[in-house]
Amino acid sequence: MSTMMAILQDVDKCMRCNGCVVSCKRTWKMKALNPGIHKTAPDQRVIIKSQKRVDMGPFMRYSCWHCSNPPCVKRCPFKAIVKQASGAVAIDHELCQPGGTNSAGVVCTYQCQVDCGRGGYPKIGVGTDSYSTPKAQKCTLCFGRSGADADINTTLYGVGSGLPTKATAAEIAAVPEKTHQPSCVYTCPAKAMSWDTRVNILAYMGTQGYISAQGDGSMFWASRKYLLIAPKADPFVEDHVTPLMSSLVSGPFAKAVLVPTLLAGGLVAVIARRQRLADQSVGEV
Amino acid sequence: MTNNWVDLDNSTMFFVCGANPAENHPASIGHVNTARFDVNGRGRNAALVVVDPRQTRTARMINSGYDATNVNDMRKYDRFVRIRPGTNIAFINGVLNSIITWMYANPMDQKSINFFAWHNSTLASHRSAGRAFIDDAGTQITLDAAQLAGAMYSFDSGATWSVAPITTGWPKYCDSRIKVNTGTGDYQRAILKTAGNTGTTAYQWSNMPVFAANVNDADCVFQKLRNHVAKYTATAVAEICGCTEADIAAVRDAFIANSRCSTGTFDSASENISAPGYRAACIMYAMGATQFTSGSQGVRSYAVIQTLMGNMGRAGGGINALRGIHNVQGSTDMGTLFDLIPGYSGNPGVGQSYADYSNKLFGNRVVGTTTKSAYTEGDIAWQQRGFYNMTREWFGSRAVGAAPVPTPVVDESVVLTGTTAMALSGNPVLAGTVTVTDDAGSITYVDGTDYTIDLANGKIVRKGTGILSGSTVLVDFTYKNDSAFDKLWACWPKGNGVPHIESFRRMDPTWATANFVPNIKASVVWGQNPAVTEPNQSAVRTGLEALDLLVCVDMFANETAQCKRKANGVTYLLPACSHVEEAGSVTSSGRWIQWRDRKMNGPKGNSKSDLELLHRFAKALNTAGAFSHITGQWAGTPIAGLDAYDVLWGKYGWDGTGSFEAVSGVAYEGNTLTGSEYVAEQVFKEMCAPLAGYSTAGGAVAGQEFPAAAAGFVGGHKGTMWIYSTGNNNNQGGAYNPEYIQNHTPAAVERNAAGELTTTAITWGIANKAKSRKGAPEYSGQHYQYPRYGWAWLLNRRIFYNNGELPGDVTDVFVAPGYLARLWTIGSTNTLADWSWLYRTYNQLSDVPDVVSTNHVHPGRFPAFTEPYETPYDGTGTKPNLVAAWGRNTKGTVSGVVGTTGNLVFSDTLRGTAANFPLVLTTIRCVEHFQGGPITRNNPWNVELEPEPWVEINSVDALAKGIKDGDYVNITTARGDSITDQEARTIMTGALAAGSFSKGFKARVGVGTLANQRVAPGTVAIPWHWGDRGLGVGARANDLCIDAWDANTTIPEFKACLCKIDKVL
Repeated sequence: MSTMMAILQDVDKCMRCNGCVVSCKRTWKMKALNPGIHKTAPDQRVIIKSQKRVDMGPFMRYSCWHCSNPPCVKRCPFKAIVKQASGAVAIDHELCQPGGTNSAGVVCTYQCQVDCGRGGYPKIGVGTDSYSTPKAQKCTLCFGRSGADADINTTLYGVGSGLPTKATAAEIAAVPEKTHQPSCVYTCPAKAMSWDTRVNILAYMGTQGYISAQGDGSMFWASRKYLLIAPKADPFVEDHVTPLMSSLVSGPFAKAVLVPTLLAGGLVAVIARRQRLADQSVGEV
Repeated sequence: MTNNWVDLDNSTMFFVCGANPAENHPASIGHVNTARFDVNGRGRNAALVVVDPRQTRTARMINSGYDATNVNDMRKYDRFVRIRPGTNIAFINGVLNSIITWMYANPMDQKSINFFAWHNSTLASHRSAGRAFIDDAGTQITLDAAQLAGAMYSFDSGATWSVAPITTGWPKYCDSRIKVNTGTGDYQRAILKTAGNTGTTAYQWSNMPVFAANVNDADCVFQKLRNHVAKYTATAVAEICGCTEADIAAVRDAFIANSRCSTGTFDSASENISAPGYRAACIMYAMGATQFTSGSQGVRSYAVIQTLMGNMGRAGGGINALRGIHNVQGSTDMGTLFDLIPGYSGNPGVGQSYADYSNKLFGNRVVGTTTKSAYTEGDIAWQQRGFYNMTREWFGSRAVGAAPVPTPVVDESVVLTGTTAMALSGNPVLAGTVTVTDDAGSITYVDGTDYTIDLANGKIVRKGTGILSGSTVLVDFTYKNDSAFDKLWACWPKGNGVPHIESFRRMDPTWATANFVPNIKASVVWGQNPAVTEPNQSAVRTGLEALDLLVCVDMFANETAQCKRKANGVTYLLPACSHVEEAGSVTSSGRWIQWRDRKMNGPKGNSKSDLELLHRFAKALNTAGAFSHITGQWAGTPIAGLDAYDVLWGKYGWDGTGSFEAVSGVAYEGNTLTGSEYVAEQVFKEMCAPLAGYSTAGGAVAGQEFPAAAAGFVGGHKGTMWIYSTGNNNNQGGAYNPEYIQNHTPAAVERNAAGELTTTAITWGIANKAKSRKGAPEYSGQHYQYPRYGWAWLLNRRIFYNNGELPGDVTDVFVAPGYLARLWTIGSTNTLADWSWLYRTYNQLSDVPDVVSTNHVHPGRFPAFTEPYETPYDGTGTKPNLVAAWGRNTKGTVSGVVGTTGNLVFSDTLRGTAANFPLVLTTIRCVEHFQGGPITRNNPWNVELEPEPWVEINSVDALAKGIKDGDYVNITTARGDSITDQEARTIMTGALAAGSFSKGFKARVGVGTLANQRVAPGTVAIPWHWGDRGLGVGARANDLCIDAWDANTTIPEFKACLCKIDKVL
């Protein structure tokens, strides 16, 4: 899969049914680590968030942005994170050792989380059945299971079989990478997500009258509405019932301390806001 | 749904009133998005209008921008209208009033011109071709072509005669011009004479309505409607609904801009659905329209507005009921309700004769006519025939009551001498017409003189010396199967069952005694969780507690299976497998029957498929002698003495011993099916075979003949489920028909792989049409109806009431006098049932307002607004007394109307007033949980996403009670509250004993500028999926809801009752 692919989520079509979230969890055998508690940790790769915090939409997809120049790659002491030609920013779980020390003595201090700053950072933990030790978990564009050669990758990488597609024969003939779609795209009942070459996605975005958008790599959302509220820095702290500030005040704070991602998220919140204010290219794609 | 999910692609306006498809029917949003964002490239975009008490996520999908330069971009009509729970009818009537007023106020507008032109149309393409009538003497008159050409009608009791309406026609799809007979409430009926008839004695009343020349006639339905809705002024409706007058005007404009009157091809005989100028509005509704004491009337108001606007029978139009779960359509098709048997037939009545019952079904008139018999298969049609077949399959076999072609029997071995009786082979029950011919020369003897018929024993008895002694005789007789069939008819339980809600009361011996009804002592709860889902839980749990025997069939030990029981009460939980472990058919909201394959190797562990459990129930009950009332009827029939299980269940493949999952057989397509796959297929064959059975001569196509004796078809099948069936073998094809695997209607025009229209026909190629999965784009059909994906009743119609303007679909006729009859004819005979009684009565539902008020001009005839049973406008609170002005919905006053079931509310149901309970409580659903929750509240992913129930309160109401976001709220109604375990019935043990069940509802109020405005001040909304068992537990909404119900449907008023709220400290 050498063609650079991308996912686009059309915010105006999304109604947050969470089909993508559950589909992702099923496809990658993710656990539900926190039933009954409103926060999600390493078991969450993708999430649909409301901008308005009372579950009223517009709903945006948050997951790894698969940046064109991903900051998380740079300081990983194990070189476990790679920006691939397919567009995916992938983590090699065989190399990833959260909190470990590499041969040069560099300690992993979850630099990938801190450096992300865009709300798509990897979550550290035992999120799946695949590893018994903690790993950095995040969206991989269904690496190895989507695209044209997913079946070949099955044997190469052992990540599972190729995923199904809803693309028509004509569409697959034009873009062979549509033979296997990422599970979120395949599942989306609102047909709000599309999976195409990055070039095609960018061209399509130009035809739809979008006036808001985010993403510069292989993950985008876009809307025909003006979405002025900045994305929340840490969308993975699930609070669609309770606004973040309110939960900090009224909820048991000790519980939050137990979840390292929340602390990381607070730091990321500052960074993200700063970066976003500075980076006016966001929205221009 | 009159239309279908996929047909939403064709719509130009979605009027969502009483539904929240974005959260509860997510799959529909893909189609909504397709139409709204013009994915199919048609140059038009659909509007979304949401009317709801709550700003749902569906409502939040409006206003995604529109192209002001494109006149076909309807998104400029996007609107959310907030109304008070229970005021749907007032709003629709207000819009109707506004539309009619607008049409008269803008006579020069093209849309107004089109509107009246359509209602007044006499175009040939709009008229009826009906030719069969029933006069008041009950005689069916079918005009032949010559008579039809010369028929004359009089609409003024014979003073003048005209050839109308045959030559001038009237709108097929709307009865707006029918003249009303004011005195009786009936419509005025024409009298008829044919060419050869002269004099008044030849005049006969027909069921043909009298039509006005135009809709301005004061007696016509249109003007009656206009008068009725005139009371619903914008001012009055705005006060009732809590909306603005501008809201009503906006919805009016949206309807006018997206209906037949505004479509670009208005004058065309065939509409171009792909054209940018095409317009059709569809209504989407669900429980938010039905779960009121006025629910039936509310749905009727949708029928009125869609009929008035000409949106019925059109692609992208229609009235679409979004069913609560994936197979609700199937369950109603199958007659699981207390007042129906499969195929929407009513229950046989107590003391009712079979012929009388049959006469009430769609088909042919069999009472009051000498030409048709309810017992003769060839004389009855459609629903009648399905019922006839079903009775034989369910309570006996096709061997009983069979009516073969009369066959001469030559019996050389028996010589009639003296008074010797001649036994006839087979199982004839002789009719009166018996001819005995002897060797001496074909002398026809006379019944009663020369011989007598021994009906009981199937014998001819020689009498006297009339028949030459010593002759061999040839007996030419006809079978008469009345008495044999009546034995099976006697097996039907007669009368309706007990309405669902009332059944829990009857479980309580105290209540049963006090109300003089039998006490229900045992209950089988199959795939349901009434201890969560039914209103007024206090009464429900009292009933469940008192049962001697409670059998739950479920995947999980749900709240019902673990409810509090009396000391000596016995509870069983039978382990049902999941839906993916068993095969069978599922019918979607759009009437599509789709086969559901199961996973390999059958159910996990000791769980069993529903089919197996049913068979095992039958086997055990049979062993215990529970079917003696059936086998007792078999005396004197060919199946006398046989085992009930073998006859009635063994035919599906499992003989009652050994492994059910080991049952195996080969399908018509050649695949080996095992277990529930095979048995379900056998049941499906019995249901869906042609009503007349398969032919024995083979199929229509060489090489694909279907011999009647092929595997699994020994003896043939005759369809028992008339709506899934078809008239005969080679006609249209029912849902299972190996003789018709080739192309059929709709045919001809398909799409090729490139999406272009082509005339290459796509065949089924499969006997079980429910398994057909031709859903690829090239099979989408001319109008994206996917005619080869699954199968849709009736006759694979994808759009009901298609008026012939959709050449890609089966043409239908609208339900109106003169048409309904033609819909239910069989073959090409145009024979007609006496359905007109139905038409004349079904517009009088069994509910009228309890207040006689000038506000109600034609209550019962047209939908009339009534307040919910508990309403803040009852005069006791701070609001005006609207109950005095509009009334509540009460028990019907029309006697003998189907559906009248008694009281609207139980006398022991506590009822709140606005003085004590100032807020309106309504119930909602969420996307993460499913119904009563056993499946989703035991799934960690779902529980993680939505762990506990919440309450949506307007920030104004929250502030008044000091409730902050995240606080727990106790909601109290007259029937219960949310933090008390009523009568200590919910015993919590183990890990979940901490009492999270009774914490109350978590407030979603929002903070600051993000304050929750989803509901208006005065309204409170709570989800109802939670209970006290499973991974996710929480307060039960149905501790609070009222069990007042709709008199027609017995659906409780889940969506509106009174409550108060308090912060849990």
